[in-house]
Amino acid sequence: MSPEADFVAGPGLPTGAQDQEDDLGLSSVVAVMGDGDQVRARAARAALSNPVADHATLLWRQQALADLTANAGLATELYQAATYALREHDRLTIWGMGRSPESMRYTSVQVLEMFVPELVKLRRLLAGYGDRLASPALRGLHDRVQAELDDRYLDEVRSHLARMQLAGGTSFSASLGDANHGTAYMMHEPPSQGMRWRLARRGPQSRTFSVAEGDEEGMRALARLQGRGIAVAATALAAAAAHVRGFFEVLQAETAFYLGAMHLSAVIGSRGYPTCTPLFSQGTDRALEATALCDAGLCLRSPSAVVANDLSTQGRRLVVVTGANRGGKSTFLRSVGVAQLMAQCGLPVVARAYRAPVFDRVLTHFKRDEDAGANAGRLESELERLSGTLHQLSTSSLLLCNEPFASTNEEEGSQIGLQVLVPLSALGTQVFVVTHLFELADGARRDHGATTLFLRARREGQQAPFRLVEAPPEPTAYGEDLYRRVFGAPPAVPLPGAAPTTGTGGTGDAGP
Amino acid sequence: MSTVPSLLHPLGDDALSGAPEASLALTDLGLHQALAVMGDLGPELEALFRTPAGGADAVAYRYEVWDDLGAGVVESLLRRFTQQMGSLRELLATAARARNAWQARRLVVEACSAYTAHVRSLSTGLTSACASSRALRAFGTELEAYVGSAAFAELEEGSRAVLDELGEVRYTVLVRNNRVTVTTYQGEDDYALEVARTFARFEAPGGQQYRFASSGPVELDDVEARLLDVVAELHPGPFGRLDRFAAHNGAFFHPAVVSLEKGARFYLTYLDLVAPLRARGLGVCRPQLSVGPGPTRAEGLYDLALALRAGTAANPPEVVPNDVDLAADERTVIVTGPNSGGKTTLARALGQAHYLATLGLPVPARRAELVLPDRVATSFTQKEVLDLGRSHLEHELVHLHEVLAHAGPRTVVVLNETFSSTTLRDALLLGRAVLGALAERGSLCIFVTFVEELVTSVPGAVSLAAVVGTDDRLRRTYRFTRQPPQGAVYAAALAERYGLTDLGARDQVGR
Repeated sequence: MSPEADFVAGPGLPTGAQDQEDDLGLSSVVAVMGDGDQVRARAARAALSNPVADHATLLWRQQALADLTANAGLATELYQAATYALREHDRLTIWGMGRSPESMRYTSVQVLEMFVPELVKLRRLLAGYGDRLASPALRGLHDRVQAELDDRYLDEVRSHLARMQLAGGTSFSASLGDANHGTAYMMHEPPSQGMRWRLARRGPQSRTFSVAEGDEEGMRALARLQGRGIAVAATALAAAAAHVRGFFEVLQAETAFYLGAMHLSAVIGSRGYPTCTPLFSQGTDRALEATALCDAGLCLRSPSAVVANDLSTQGRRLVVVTGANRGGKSTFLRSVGVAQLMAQCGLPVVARAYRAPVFDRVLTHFKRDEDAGANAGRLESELERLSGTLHQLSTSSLLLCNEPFASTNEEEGSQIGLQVLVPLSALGTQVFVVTHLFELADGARRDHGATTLFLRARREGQQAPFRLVEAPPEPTAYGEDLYRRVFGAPPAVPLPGAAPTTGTGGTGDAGP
Repeated sequence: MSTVPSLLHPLGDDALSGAPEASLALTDLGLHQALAVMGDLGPELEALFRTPAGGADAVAYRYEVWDDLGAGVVESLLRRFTQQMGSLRELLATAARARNAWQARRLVVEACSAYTAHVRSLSTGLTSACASSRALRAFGTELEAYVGSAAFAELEEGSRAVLDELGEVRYTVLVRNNRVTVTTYQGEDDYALEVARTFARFEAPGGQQYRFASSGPVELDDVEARLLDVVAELHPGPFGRLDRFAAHNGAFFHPAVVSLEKGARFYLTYLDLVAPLRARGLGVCRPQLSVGPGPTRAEGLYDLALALRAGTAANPPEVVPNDVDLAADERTVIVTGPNSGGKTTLARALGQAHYLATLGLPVPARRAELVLPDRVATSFTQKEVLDLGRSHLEHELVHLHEVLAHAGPRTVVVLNETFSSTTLRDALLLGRAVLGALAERGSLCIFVTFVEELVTSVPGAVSLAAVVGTDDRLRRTYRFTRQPPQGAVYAAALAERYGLTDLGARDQVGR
């Protein structure tokens, strides 16, 4: 999953990740990637909540995915091998490692003896694919496994494990410590079972004593003594067992992710939506370009065809989306967020073409019901939330806002928006804002028109619904149309803002 | 003349005179409670708190040590030393209990080595502390000589050598089923290293660390004991040396060290006792003492036992310090006041100050000037009749007869409601007689009583009466001042409260 770090899919998510998952509707994506398997779902969530921020890793993942897609079956076999090994490990260690060195030794030897043939299977599996592996990730895994888990090495391991059965007894030395207790215990190579212990130590003298067979306390004392002798070796074995388990754990999580990715592409493809490998721009080129971009989650959820949109920021840091209710604005916003997250996981995106910079964070600020309460409380709670979000982002981040400041009136909300979001984008953060607040949108147009992209959703009933066009904001969200549709007659008193626009570039859709 | 220095007496510990003080005064003055707070002292240490130092010079000798203790260096030096000695004794106790002879001998040698280290550091510490008291200077000199002596060097180097040699011993054990075979170590390799090396290629950073607790009981189990015996057989050199050294140096404590330890515990125990009081603003001080006639003065005097109780109780009684100022010829003091007003407390406080002075301990006051007593005697009312053959009054008189037989100008007598079990007339008669006799002998007498007439009937007596509250004449202030007994005032206030004065009574009756 990365040239340097191990991919770990723990059960927990980073703070805020759950909210973001809900905002963007990612649970559908996770569910499909999981395809009923908890481990796969967890890996998918872990990846999506920790998007990668460096080009090298992204390329690494894309190439690994391509490789696994080309070598059908490898990912599944690797995943199954890892899963089996882990399950066996957990079965053998169900009572833990034990509290005495002897029980630790016993369990560790059992675990490692189970792991060795699994490692052989893994090596042979990868060897079978041999030259067909093209990506650095899989080539690397293959080479590492062939080199480090060769037969000579595994024989060495097996021989240690055999000796650590301690069938022939234990041998160790010690010095004298406080109160003449034994100290500085050091284990020697365990004597083998068949051979009589060569008392070629005929040089020095030796003394032998026995513990009587029925002496239970004595036998316990003897076991304790041996335990002290082997303690260090036992902990070394336990550590080794844990490390091998860790290796399989990482292998499982990583293959789980790629299996999810491949399944996702298959499902998306089967629904007729185009996917592509995203391109990442470098350096100062921060433009976002997309052709036929769809919200992946919606594609998975919706029975009817999802409308695609095009996007071309041309480096403009602020994107303001206005327009009719249910005109597809939120969906559009999500499509950008989901695509960017998926892209920054190394996944293909649902678009015909997609090119974007690498953002260090992708953050969302969506309207929340919890901002409910007394009006003053709602705005305050929203601002607190926004403040928390702002603390996490930088000028290299992507921020997606859906109806910010809707918890207050237009004038106040617009003012706050102009003071917060516009300067933020001026600093370099890529900001997308979906809003009904005309004053906010218009203010942005007046003062930062050149560096802002304005998109507008169509009116209901118009052609090509859910498609956004590049157009300045209008003072109305077509509430009058909605009224007419519901009441069957125009409103007696004109609604505020129903006057024809006088702004530049209006496309003249005002009026009945 | 003993050559072993002492922290407790200029002529050595042996010079501490005779039997511990009879417990009556100690108990009457409430000091047994202080002893209880000190915890389990052991008979030797407890006796020190009951035995007067023995004369003005011995008392001064001890106060010099208190002056040295005032500078933190000496105190921490002695504390560390007593703690170390305590651990040492525990080690030796473990050695005595050990069932395996080789373990016992080893423990003795370990104790010996630790002992030489502690004594050496104590000696160095004492020398650099520049103590001024005769006691600590004597110890400084003695310890310096001891540490430089051949006997000490033998102990120090000998024990170290034995332990070092034992440290060189290494043995190999082979365990097969129930048989244990032991030889000397033949240079075998560390197998765990090989194991770790083989499995190193799986290593990941931040893995779980496995550790086994290495501590267990000191006592060797059966297998360990047999193993040790066998190891001893295989290494006759080092173990022979161990055997010889342990046999030769079974008892290695130098008498000066033992004496210093004993004395240090005395001082440190008292310091620990009064430390929490200091934190509450109640200090102790070194009193100015005279052996000839002199004034009896104290500022901020309080009852030590009461103060100690106050620190621990849920509803603590108040501790109110008082000032006392008696000229050299004012040796009879009558203390009067309402019930539970602090009369007995004041008398106890003054008695305690004198008693503690005879022990050479700092007294519970901010400042004090006292005549060093040769004896502190008490007579407090006993609730129970101690001797069935006598009445309470008879008992008091017998006791006072004995006191008077030995009373002199440096005797301090504290009487608390003595003669209260008889008629007023008798009490007045007896009281006058006893006070007169004590005055004749020049003893300091503090008499707590309700019999206010005693004040006027004894020439030169000082009356200390309780101060009543100005706002509420029934409020106890626990403060006393030189003034005539206030009984009338108090009684009047009480009467008024209950409407029993003239006017009030008329009101009641009229109904």
